[in-house]
Amino acid sequence: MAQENSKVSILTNGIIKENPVLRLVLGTCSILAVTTAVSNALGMGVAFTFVLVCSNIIISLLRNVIPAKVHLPCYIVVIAGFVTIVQMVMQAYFQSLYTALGVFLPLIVVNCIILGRAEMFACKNSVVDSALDGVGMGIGYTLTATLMATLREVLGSGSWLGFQVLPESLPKVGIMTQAPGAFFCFGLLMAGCVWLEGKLDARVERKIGCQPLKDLQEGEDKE
Amino acid sequence: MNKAAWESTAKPILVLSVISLVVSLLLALVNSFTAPVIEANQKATTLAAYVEVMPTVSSAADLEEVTGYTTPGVTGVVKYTDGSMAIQAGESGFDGGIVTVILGFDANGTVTGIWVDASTQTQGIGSNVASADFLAQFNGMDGTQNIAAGSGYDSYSGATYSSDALFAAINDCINCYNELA
Repeated sequence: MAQENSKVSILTNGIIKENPVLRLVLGTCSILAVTTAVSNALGMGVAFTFVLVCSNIIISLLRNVIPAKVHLPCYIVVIAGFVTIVQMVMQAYFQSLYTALGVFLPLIVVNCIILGRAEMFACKNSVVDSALDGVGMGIGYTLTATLMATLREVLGSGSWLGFQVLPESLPKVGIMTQAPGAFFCFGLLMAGCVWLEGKLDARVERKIGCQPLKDLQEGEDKE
Repeated sequence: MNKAAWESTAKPILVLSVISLVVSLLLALVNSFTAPVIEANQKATTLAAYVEVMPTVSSAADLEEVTGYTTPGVTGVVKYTDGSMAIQAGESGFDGGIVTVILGFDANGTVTGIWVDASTQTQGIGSNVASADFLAQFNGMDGTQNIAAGSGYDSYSGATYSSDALFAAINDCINCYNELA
């Protein structure tokens, strides 16, 4: 039972507690860029989740083979390979989605979340756990992107998923479709996530970067 | 070779090379499946767009491909027996992304339709230059005179780079029409 619990917690980790975008603050570049429309956010989320799960599985499989010296180049090659496959398959069979995502699809390669999860999770954990982590993080990313795109599309264009939801006569908040609007939404959602965490009484102690908290405190003592 | 040298030098090189090779093979395999489909898709899209801008043409099979043009930027020309013509041109817009335009002309040089692919431009900003409302201003214009933004025609506000590319590509089509007609 305890083991089942840990599997579930790996899966749900990415949704609030370790939401890749709002709590780990990774992959913000693509989030800010693709959230102008809900359809783009969903498409990006699906493509992103697929690449993340695949790369997590492969990197977890290879974790004992890849020498520490070249681990980053190896991860990048694996991730870039998957992204290119997704891109080719999408261009061949899902052309409208491919046209909609445009330049952001190849940019998944340099999405920090994928490299981050490879480095923080997949290289230390079993294949099943890594796949679950990928699914959880992917859901977290997709949910955040969709939520943000909903805010921006409804306020900025008066529509949701392409359907008009606000009456045409209502003035639109044009700035929401532009870059500053993305930052406003991002800040609001981030604050909302922290508030939710406090409400759920699930406050997590934050570490800075990859440095364990213990080392950080010892370092402070010495000064 | 001793064990330390193997661990520190040879093994990392070998592992990275093998991973790269396997990934490359995989990509080549996927590409061999998808490349023909992608090419067919693109050809079908272009042909459908030609038909879309030429109201007198009902089927892409009736179109005759024209070669021998020298106008830079032009990527394809087709004509129909009634003298109407469709010209495809591309110009780089924001961040190097190509804005593709297909302009239809009737036998008198009047523009009968315009088709724009701006999917390479920023979504929600530059991509707006492909919106039907915006493109309506070009329908029925004189296809033998170069046009400029601000003098009779508007560029899309907030999307300067993409609009410039659109106008440049339209002028490429016009120049090519003048060259061939």
